[in-house]
Amino acid sequence: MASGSGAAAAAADAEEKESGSRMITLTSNEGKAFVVTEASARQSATIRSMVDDGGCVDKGFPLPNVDSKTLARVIQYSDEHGNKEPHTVDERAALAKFDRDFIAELDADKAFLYDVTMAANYLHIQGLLALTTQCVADTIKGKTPEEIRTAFGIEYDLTAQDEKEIKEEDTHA
Amino acid sequence: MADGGGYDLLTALPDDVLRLILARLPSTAEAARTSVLSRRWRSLWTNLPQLRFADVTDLARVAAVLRHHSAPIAAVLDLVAPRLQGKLLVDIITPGDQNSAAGIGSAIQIPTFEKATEITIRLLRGIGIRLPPPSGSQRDLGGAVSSEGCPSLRELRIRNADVVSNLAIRSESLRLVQLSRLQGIRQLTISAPALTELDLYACLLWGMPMVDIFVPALGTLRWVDFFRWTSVRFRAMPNVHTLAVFVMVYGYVSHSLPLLQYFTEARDISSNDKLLVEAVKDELPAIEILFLRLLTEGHTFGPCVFHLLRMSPSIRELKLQLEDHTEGRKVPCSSGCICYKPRDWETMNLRLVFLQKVEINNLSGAECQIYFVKRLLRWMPVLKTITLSFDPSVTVSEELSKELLSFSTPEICMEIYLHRDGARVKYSAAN
Repeated sequence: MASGSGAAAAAADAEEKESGSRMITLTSNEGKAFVVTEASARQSATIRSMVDDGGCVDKGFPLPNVDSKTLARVIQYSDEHGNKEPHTVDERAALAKFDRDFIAELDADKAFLYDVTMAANYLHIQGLLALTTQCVADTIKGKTPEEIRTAFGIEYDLTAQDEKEIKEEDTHA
Repeated sequence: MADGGGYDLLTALPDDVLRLILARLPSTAEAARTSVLSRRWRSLWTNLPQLRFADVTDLARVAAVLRHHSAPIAAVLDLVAPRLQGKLLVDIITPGDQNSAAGIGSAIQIPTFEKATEITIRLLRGIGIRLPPPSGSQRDLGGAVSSEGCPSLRELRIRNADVVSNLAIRSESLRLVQLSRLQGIRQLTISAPALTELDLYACLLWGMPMVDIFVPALGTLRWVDFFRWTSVRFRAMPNVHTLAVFVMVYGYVSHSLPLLQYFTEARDISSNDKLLVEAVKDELPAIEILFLRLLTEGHTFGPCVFHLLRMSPSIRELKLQLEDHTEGRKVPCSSGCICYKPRDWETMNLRLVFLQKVEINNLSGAECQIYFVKRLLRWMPVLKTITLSFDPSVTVSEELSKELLSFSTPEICMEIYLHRDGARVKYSAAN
């Protein structure tokens, strides 16, 4: 990954010639360019289908829904999963450890976790989306409704009618 | 949304993502409890792509959150039915007291799933969904999963349920039906013009139900179940290309009548077995893959397989799984035994001009088996590979392996697998 559009494009060209694999430019909503390998970019089903549909690789892909900080983090994941193909038990364990560490860091910064989740959803990166949604689910797991509301700052907005319905459901129980 | 202090951190996430999160909770019961969080969460869980009832205790909790009737499964199904799109999996795996198990065992009514595309019901043996006897407007299981109940249903799997009634599935939309270990079926009817895959496993063991099957588009048939030609009615299936059946080579039937070929162990066939063979010839002309599980009981299977192959001129792939469950009790079998008749297979040649791949498992090395392989190889002019695997308990002599290889030709890749010191190894002439 490199940044700064002109230099990046040149670097990409050079690298392409050297390694034979294409480089792809992703641009955040702040206009910052990130150059990644095609293998890394293909972690995203959204980009994958655009690449496979032909063209626009040279122009790069603007991502108006993703800010630079989030994109950098998403690319960190995609690089790890796209550029490496784990073959041995050790390599797979290393990748699993990467995932654990990656999500543990995000879990500590919930707002950022949701940004990454949104980006993973928008870019259709299945593995990353599975990782982040599981993390949120783990937070919900085993908590009472009140605890869940506190954990996520969910505003209690049920109307009297809703409460009546819930009460009816409960008394049927 | 920076520090998360007072705001709803999840607000920004679209409903689709929230549903992904709910789907990752251990059970749908837990997902259902989020319905009291706020207005937005009120019905999110009911649109989950998949409902999972992880265990009955949880199921009771789902019911407590929602409505509770005497049969919460029915209540939950009722609530969910109109909204469910996609797959429904009811998986009861916790053993327990039937009566306390949330109404299982009592009669429940299966609701209408307008939009469901896949339904799987798997229950622990012994606890089943008992359905009310068909009367008046009450819908039974068959009606529930048929077009009237589930017009969008494409795949239906039911395992280990008690079905104390007739089961009549009539569906325009179904593509796949798997019925496994259903007890108490009195009559089974499947009428599904679009069905391409049918899998029946141990559903016809009790009470000899009458079976009527109309599936003209069927491609794959797995029939590991009793088969009595007198009680099973197949209507034309011209497209079956894959057939897996359970064949008992020599049945211990009433009056000890011998049977050479039929699709499953039959308890009381007394009619001429040619009837079946001839009928099959008309019904299943396009079989390309034939998988036979042969319960040999110490008998020779050559004549039986010969006849089935004669019915299958388009076969491309043949797999035989030999199962000799004789162990201690040896079945008296000699050249005078009925299993050697008819003998026309020893002289008549078949020409299976599409058969390219053969696999035979659990060979014992008995003379009649080796002879069968020899005969078989003459019937397959375009054969590419044949894989012969011996039973682990068998010691295979060098001579035997060489003899088998001598049947082969340069165009055929013959592989022989045998067991040495507990490991499965490939025989090669070098050692």
